[in-house]
Amino acid sequence: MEMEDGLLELLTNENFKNWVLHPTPVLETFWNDWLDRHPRERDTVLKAKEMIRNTTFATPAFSEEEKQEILERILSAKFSVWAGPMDKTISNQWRQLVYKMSAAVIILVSLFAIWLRAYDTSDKIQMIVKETAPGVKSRIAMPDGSQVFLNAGSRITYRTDFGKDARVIQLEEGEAYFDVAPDTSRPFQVVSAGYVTTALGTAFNIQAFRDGPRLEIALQHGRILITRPEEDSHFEMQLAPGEGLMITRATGRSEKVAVDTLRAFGWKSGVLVFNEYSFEEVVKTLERWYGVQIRVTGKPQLWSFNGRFDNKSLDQVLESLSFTYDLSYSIHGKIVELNLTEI
Amino acid sequence: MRPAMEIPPFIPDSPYNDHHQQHVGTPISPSDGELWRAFKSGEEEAFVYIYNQYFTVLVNYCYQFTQDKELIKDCVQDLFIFLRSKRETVSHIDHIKLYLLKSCRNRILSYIKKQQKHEHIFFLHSDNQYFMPVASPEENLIRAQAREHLTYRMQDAIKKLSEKEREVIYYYYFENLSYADIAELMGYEHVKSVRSLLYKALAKLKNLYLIFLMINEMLRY
Repeated sequence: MEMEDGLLELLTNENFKNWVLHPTPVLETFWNDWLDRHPRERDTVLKAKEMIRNTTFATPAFSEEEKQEILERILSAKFSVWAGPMDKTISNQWRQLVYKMSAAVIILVSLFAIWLRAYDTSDKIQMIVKETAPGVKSRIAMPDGSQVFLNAGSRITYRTDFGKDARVIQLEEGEAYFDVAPDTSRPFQVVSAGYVTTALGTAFNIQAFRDGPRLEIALQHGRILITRPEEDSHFEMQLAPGEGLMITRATGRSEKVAVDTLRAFGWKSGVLVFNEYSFEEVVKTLERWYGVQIRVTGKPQLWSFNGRFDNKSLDQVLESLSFTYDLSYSIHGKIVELNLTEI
Repeated sequence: MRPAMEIPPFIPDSPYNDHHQQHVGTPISPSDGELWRAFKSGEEEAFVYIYNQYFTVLVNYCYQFTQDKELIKDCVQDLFIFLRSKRETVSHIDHIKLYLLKSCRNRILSYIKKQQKHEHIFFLHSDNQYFMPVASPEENLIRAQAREHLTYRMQDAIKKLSEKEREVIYYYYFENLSYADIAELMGYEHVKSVRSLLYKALAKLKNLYLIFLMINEMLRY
């Protein structure tokens, strides 16, 4: 019996179906990873895959010529055809107007309600600020049971009544990982640089350093929705586990990417990851991570540095940098002298 | 109850399950919204692109209702002529496949009705024969060569389902639509209804399929 329940669960799971019918790299990674973690389900997965793949329906055989013939007839048709029984999508100007007006009324009423509420409670509610200095990470337990891991040089704020009927956190600077306590009645929202990430029970990471070129949102598990209510009301992006959204600050362009797990979540356990970082990015990251000030002499060249450091000291990181690039360094307490030698 | 399998949670009736879901991870170029806008602004290429993209989906869909190929041709042809003649007044759409399937369904059903009236056949299609997985002769030949047992067995199993159950399986697996899309197509108010219908259908299918596997296993020894 046990296997059968799992089989049904897989068959009705949209992610699983999409993987079988239209595999993408993200789905491929996710499900292979899932299989590794659940080796006993391998047989169930195979059966479910087989069932889906063998679900076929009768189809007519139309040749490519027939298809093009029909197209030609369509393109040369001058007469109008019967509109069809219920092509509801044909715009009915009046109905549209009514819709628009009712939408406007609803918006006005809700705005008024929000204003009333804000006005009513503004004297009691204050903001709580949690901040980490460079070189320091911290973990914050939220009143609703969620946990926030703050990376070095980062700041979040939230209202004193957090969790009462909304769960909203502002990530004002830096990087944070959110492990959200499930609660479908109160969505968990993180606001960062105008992007709102909404989650139910899930865990995700947001990197939004003001001096960094990008905003990065990465989902570990669960499901999140990213919107930009103020700048672009049409913007809406959903992430599935293992997916990330990378937003280039300068252009505002956003791109869905597969998440590099270590890069997005590794910092919590002390893993420092560089992924094609420029010289400036490397320096800023090191300053933040180790809480030091780096003084640079010499001209920086074009860097595209890749590296992973699992709980390594600044000395070890700089030493490995000096293998790749021509540089010398010396550490004096909180001050680091970095000398780039020219070739 | 077994412990949860930790598969990414599906959240019924959540705002996340809109029709964009099926596009997650699949690059779509160009997006449905852009394509539709181009079509509405009079770009013939966009129209032809839409036609080429969805012709097969639509004739396959029609075939679930009637095996009359001429009628199917008329239906798809008229649907596109209608669209093209009304391009300025058609409202904005950001999920073309769903829209076309919906319009196509209404059209083919009424064409079938008209034809039956005309030919005085009132009884032929009244006994729920839609969405029957009857393979065409050519297909049967191809399938006979490989993996035929499983495919036939699945077909037999699907035939034992009710019409609604067959329909939901068609959308979910054959057309790879999301729960939300299916709810809209089948006229359900809640995604939940689709899910429970699908669950029922799959529970039946699964039992029939597992029985078949068991018999197969036994025959082997």
